[in-house]
Amino acid sequence: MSEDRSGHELPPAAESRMAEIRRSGTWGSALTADEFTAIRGVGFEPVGQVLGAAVYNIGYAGGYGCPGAWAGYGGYVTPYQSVTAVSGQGVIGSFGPMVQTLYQARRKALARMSQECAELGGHGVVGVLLTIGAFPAGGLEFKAIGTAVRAPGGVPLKRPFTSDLSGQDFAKLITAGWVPVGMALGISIGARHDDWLTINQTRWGTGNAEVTGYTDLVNQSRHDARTQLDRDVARMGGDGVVVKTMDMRIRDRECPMQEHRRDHIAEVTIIGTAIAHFARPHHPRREDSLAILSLDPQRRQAARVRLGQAGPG
Amino acid sequence: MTDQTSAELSVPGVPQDAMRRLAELRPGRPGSIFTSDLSVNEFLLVREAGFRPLGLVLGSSIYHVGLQLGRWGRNQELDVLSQAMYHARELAMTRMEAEAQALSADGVVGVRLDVELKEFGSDIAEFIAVGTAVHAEQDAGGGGVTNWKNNKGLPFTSDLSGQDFWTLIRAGYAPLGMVMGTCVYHIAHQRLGQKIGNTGRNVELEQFTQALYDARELAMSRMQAEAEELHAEGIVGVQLRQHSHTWGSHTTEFFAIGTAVRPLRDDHVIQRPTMVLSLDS
Repeated sequence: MSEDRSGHELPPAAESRMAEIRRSGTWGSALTADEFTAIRGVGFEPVGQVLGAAVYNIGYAGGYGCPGAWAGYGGYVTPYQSVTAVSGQGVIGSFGPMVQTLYQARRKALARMSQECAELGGHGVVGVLLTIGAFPAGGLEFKAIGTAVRAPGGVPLKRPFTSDLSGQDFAKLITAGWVPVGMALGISIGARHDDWLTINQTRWGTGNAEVTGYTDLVNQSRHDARTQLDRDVARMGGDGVVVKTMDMRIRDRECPMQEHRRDHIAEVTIIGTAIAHFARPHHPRREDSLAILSLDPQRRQAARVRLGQAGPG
Repeated sequence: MTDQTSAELSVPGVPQDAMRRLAELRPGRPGSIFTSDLSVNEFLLVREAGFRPLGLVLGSSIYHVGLQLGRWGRNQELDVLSQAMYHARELAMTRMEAEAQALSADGVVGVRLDVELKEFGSDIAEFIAVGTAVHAEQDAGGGGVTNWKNNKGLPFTSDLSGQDFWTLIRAGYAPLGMVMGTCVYHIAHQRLGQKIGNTGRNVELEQFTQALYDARELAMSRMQAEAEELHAEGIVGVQLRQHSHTWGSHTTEFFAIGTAVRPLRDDHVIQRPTMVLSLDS
């Protein structure tokens, strides 16, 4: 796919930094001492800090129509029950172009970061931080930063792996026989027109009622995002994915098709790491985890506070 | 890491095997891919307990909560609002269980049950239940356990984290299902005379104390009743939460949630953990 080839044109500043690192043999990294020890402990070496970035102008986002506002013979009057249009289905008036752009931009940033890693002779990148922000001069900036690592004596890879796992988590997975394949994204934008049913269910005088319209919007958008995530993992050839974040933002807007009515738009983003199982025929089975009870009162207190705030996990 | 472990792992083999696997990836492979919401620690511990993650399962419902006003001077339960909380959470949980059934899962671990108020519309909240559906391998729970589902024929659900789940299975217990009790309570306002009388004094506000006791008792006895329906031996991991949502300071919801458990076998022995004292600051 084209986004893998785009890495060939690294900006000149990046090319000269890669050449400098190769010449001097000294690596830099964004790892803490613990992460460094964990990575070394499983036989990998850090190679250098790598960065990929892309600044995009979002000119055409789609979503200019509202298919849900059509009520058959009545024309564009409020229908009794509308439909949700999700970006993954390519319905006219959906936000497909916007989602395509978000995917393209993130993949480009990740591909450039992988390209730097490959030039340094690394096998993959750990601790990837993927951010979107407003670029001061205009547009949206997509940035990916991480630390490249390599396995001495390992076969060189066409496409280095990327993962947002910390050094310790990476070491734990490798010890258990799993290797990260790449970062997987599931993005979906769904839109729904506010129909009569929804308006009646949200009046202040209505009693307890499930708002079926919004529930449908939210469920369809999340389902579409999960389908896109599965497709992304299959594209990379992974066995599974460990999800790190699942965000949803809902906003509303004036309906472009009908006066005085509103549409609601849900944007769902799921980010995770795709992983694959590898066989280790000549290593003994890993011994079971050890249950420990710390006798240090401060550590137990800190752990109790952390669990109380964060809930499960 | 001990010297022995690091020597074993930095023997050429492990990283090179991993890279060889990556070089052999076949993109676009159809078939089963598992998704999971678990952190790395949880993922590895759940696998070690003998369970394989099947997929992320999710149930959600956007609910409009009706109005109910309490009498100014009385402690009372607001049953319309309690019903709303129950119904909405039940919708979210049953949808999540239906997704788990569709995956032919034995259970769902790491369930997060959250309420989030939405800015659009008033009194609209989203109830969402997210968890990871798992399938029990042959050797799960020490082997020999044929049925992991509860007495309603549904996959077990548990809000225990991966670490707690591993500890529970090792101790010879299995989760049956999440049990919850909720009560929305209106706390009586103080009469003017009482309020003036209490100014400047250190005194217990008896009707507030009574309100808290009543509300908590209602929530916890409802949770107990749900556990009895599942024929559980006990409830673990109970959290008692209190929120006012958007109802103001005299109306609060008391919400008790926990995981009902049953023993896997009569003769289980709980292993003593190793005690450690860390020397780092």
